[in-house]
Amino acid sequence: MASPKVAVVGAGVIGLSTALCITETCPSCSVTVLSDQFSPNTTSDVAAGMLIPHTYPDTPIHRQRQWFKETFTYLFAISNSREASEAGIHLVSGWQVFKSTPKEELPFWSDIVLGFRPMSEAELQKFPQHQFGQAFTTLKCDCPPYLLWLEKRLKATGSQMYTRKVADLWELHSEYDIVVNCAGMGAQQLVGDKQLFPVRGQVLKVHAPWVKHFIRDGDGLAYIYPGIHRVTLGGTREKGSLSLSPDPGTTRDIFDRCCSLEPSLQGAQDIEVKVGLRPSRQCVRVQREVLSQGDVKLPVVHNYGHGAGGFSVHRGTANEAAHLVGECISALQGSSSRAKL
Amino acid sequence: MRVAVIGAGVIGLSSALCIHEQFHGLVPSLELEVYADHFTPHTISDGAAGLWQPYLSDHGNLQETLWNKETFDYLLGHLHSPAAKEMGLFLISGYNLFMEPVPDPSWKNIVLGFRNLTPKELELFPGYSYGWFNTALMLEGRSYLPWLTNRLTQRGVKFFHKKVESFQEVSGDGVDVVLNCSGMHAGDLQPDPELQPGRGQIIKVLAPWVKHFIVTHDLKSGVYNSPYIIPGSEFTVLGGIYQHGNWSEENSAKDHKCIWDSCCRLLPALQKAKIVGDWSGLRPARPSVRLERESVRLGNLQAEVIHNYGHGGFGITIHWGCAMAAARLFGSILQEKKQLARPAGPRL
Repeated sequence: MASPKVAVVGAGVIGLSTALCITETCPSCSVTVLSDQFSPNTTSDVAAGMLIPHTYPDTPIHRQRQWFKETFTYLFAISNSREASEAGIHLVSGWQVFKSTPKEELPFWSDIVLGFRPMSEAELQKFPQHQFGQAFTTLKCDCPPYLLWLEKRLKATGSQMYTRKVADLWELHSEYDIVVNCAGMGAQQLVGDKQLFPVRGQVLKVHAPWVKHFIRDGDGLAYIYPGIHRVTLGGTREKGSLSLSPDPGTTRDIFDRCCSLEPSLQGAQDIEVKVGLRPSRQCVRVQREVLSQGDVKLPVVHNYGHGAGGFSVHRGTANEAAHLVGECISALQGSSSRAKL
Repeated sequence: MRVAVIGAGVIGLSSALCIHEQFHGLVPSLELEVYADHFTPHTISDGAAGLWQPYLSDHGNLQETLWNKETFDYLLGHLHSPAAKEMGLFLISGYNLFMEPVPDPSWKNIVLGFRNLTPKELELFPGYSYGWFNTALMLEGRSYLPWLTNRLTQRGVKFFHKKVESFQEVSGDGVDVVLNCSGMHAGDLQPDPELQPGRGQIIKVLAPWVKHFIVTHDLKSGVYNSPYIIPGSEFTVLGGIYQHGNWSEENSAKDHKCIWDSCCRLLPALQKAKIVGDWSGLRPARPSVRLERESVRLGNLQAEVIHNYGHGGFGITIHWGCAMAAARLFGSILQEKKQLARPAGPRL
């Protein structure tokens, strides 16, 4: 197989970064990204893109750690280069605060972010309703810039991108040798995964350029993430909801919760409301599969179900998926040489 | 009781406000007048980035360290007030970088979360082997000065656009106290060879992805002669020039290149920043701040002068502590004149 043809379904942060990793690990592949949506209309565009991991209950911690570490290292290098502003990657410091001391004071990722330490008494005075906090420095991937930068890198490798709704992976078997499923929430219909469920998130993107720190309540329901031009205020975690329409009552609640963490947000301007459905799963599905219909086989690599933690682990899972694509190629080459005998 | 304030930078305006807040209730006849040749946005306070950070060493001048602390605590207390945005006040964290280990600064317990940098953080800054991280405050002059001006105007303080050439000019005609906050030009009012310009130049850029201040230190070349990057609410300030004795307020192409090259080396992400413009100003440098009373004989009149100038590159950092000290000096003048007990009469 001289030039394996790989189709990547999905053009959010997972689809684009996986496609890019495939071009890096398998330069002889031709990679095509197919998606019904591209930036700025993907779920990734709604997210703040903060590198603060979400813990997946059924993925081994060492694997999550590895994914986060690879992602952090990759983005850290970009943040410190002249590409940083175009890629939308920047360092940001801040605080995660808790109303009562959490069971786990040291999360698994505390040594991967920078300068992680408990907050001092003096720092906690800024948060009178909170008893405990953690201060650290991490990275933020602003979207659309990061997705557009990934698209640009992909185009430079000669990869193609097409707007196309894929209703069934088998549609692709005649044109492509391997299909990579990064369809996020779309995997529910595409591969009938009943373990995948939406967790609705509503956010506000506001103009408040004096806010230089992130603030996150450990309960996950109030967060303030300053991006390059806008600050993302959140949020909600509504399991099972499929509504993509902003809810005005929720907007008011989010604004109030965030103002109580950071009173100066009362002066925020130009409030834009967005909604995304986190493609959630007990464990991220990064897995090879061979679909068959009669004699016909279709190698598939899945990379979806990142829920609330897509940005934090995207590069790590993309690397793993690219390796699985490599394995698919070896398997195809093995079977094609066997076929020749 | 008429008080003439000379200078409308951060020192003049804050001293005026502090005195008015403390004494107008006790001295109903208190009238404040501010005289200045430059008002916001044309003062040196407007050019400063606005980062609260004293010099590395207070040279044993504990009084100044105390005034710095009073300023920080005062501002921190205003952080959650509705006025904060209008004042140009917000929290900011960042890095101080060195090429060798240094002792902790006098202000390590004043700022929040002061700590040494970890090895991984130092990887961000090749050429620097040691450093600090802390959370401090920004107080942007171009917001703070108009805010002070509004507070003063509401209180009935009058402003006069005029270059004052002598204490005599303002002290006649019933003015009892002169508050000398004339900064760099204090020497024109009364010779002071200790007051020298510390010329600075900065480049204002648009780089909203920069969320931390980065201040480097080269112990051999002295304060502010090493690159620094300070992100404000609208612009990011790039600097690193301190020329003692240079009175030029013209932008220098050589200094521009030096700032730009050294800051881009420090933070490669700046290379794509859009340059908005350069600005130069003279820091009113002095071995120590002159904050004291003086009785000045002017013809057959005597006036009390409170000097409050020579704050170098840390005016914003120290301003409120100095304003309160000036107010205490004012209080002692009032005591002596027994002004607190009865209404003011004309001075003979």
